[in-house]
Amino acid sequence: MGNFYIAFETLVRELGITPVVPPRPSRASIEFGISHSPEFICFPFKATLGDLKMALELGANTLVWFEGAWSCRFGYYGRLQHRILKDLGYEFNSLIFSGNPIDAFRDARKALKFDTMRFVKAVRIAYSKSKAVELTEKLALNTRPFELNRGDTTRVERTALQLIRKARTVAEVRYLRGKITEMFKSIPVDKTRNPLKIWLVGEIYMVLEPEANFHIVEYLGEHGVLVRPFTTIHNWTFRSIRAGRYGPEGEAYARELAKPYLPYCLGGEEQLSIGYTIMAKRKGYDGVIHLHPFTCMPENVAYPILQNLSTRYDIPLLSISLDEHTESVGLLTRVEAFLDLLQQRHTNG
Amino acid sequence: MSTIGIPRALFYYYNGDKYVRFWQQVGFDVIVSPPTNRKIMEQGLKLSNTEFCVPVKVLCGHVWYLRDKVDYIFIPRILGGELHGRRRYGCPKFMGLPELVKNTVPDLPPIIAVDVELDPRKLRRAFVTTCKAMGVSKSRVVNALNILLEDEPNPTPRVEGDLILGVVGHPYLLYDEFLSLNLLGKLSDMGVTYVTSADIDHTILDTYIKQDYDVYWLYEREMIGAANYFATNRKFNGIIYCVSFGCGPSSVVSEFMQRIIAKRIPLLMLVLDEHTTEIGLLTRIEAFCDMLKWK
Repeated sequence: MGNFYIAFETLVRELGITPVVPPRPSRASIEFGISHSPEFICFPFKATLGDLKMALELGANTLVWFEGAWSCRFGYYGRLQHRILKDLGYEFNSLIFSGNPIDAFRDARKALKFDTMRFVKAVRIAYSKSKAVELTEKLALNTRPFELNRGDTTRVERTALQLIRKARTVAEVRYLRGKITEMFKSIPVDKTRNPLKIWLVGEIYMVLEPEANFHIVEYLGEHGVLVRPFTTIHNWTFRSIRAGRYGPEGEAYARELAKPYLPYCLGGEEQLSIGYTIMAKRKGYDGVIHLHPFTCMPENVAYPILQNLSTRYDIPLLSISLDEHTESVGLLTRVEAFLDLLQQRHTNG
Repeated sequence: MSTIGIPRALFYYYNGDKYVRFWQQVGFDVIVSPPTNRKIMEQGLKLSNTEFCVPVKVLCGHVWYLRDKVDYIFIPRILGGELHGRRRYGCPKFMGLPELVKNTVPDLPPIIAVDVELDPRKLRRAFVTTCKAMGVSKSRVVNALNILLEDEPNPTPRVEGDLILGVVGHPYLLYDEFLSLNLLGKLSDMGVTYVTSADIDHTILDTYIKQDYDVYWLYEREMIGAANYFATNRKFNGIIYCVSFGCGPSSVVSEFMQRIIAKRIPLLMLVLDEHTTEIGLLTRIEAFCDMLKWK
């Protein structure tokens, strides 16, 4: 998912295990996922099933899952995918972690036989890399709408991510942080532009995986929109051990804002979708785009609430349900129409 | 005296009659919406988001029917609770049901949203606080609550016949004659004896739920337990498994059914939605029964 692999690959390698990174989800891998998944399960399940098959074909012999433990379907990804792949005749071991991170760590240590010191060291490097990735993503988001030559930022972002991936020590990553900032500064920009500002909310996989959302973040950026996904891979990965969930734009505050409209967490990002939509209004953003996979349960509950919020508080909202049948042209046409609308509001009001 | 409306959908099919008696004893008039009909269904489809499963769409229709006839509408929030060493949940849609309805159907009277938990103490507290806000004295609520808490055992159904089927599915789908296109009636007409998953007592089901598929959704774990019961019990010839299209938990459970249960007993999976036709359904059931007879 997204650039998650960079940090996790390092973590696994530092533990003395060879990681296998499958290529990004592609037509072929998604096609495989669809044909072996339950009919109306959510899209992330199908896509990740395809990814796992690619990994197995690249020689992986152990699959590791981290599951959510709430009422959303995410809590059964591991067990179901394990069974599906086994029924297809693949040979592998599996490790399924769910519940709180401390239990997961204890289980992992038992299964993979590493000592705690080594793990701490590995996590330090993974954490610093993940943070560097977050920095790169943020810089890219903030530079892209201002760039003079379309595509510059994306190119720099890719190079930067490759550099981070290759780094081996914490010191090296620290050095890279400075270098990456310089790299982004050297992109020719036009700071006089007054871009539209859009907040991107919805289901985490759909928001953060570019292959699933047809590179919507890059598309928006290159069309002169300052886009802000509601969270980053870094925040999402380390949210259970990190204080980053607090603060004026943190997850905890967003949940607090959403409480009057939806008092309970339903296991997905539905409270965050609602909370960040309200926050977008308060911070003067021009609009909100809500992405979710078809039949996603939590986001479906959030959907009518968001619609009403949008009317009541006058926040332009585009809610898109994505699955394997979505075509990039269809999606981008809708986004383009939405942008036109916002542009008019922006100039008039 | 004010009236409370209870929509005849979703949660009504679990312990609706208890809720009716409860509110009557507390001192309200209770109106239950009529069985689903075309008008209610169409209204529900029109109002709600296209991605909801049909039962939720139908619920919106029922609420729409009740909205100008009552002072309050009762929609419990089924939260689950601790059961057999694990936290159990309702489906996310059940957990957000009051909000979902409030934001889908316009011009509603106040909604009574009570958090329904498995733990009787929490349940009692939730009902007492809600009723207090409505101006009902605590003693009356506590007395009436015994209705909700009593647990009458389901006698195990006795079955005899040439062809015996187990029907697995959510009660709100199976027992809603309009939604399920009278599936159960059709089975009786064909001379098939059947037992539904809702007929079997909880205590029996619990022994049939294996660790492999002990899912954390309250209702779905019972469904898969029932399927295992039918598969283990030699008397049953086959299982008909009913799902509504877009049902989240069922998409997981159906896979367990097809990969574990269906290896031991013939299984017919029917996916129902608002476009299902009577003839299509009938053809499939007939074909399935014929196949079982030849076997």
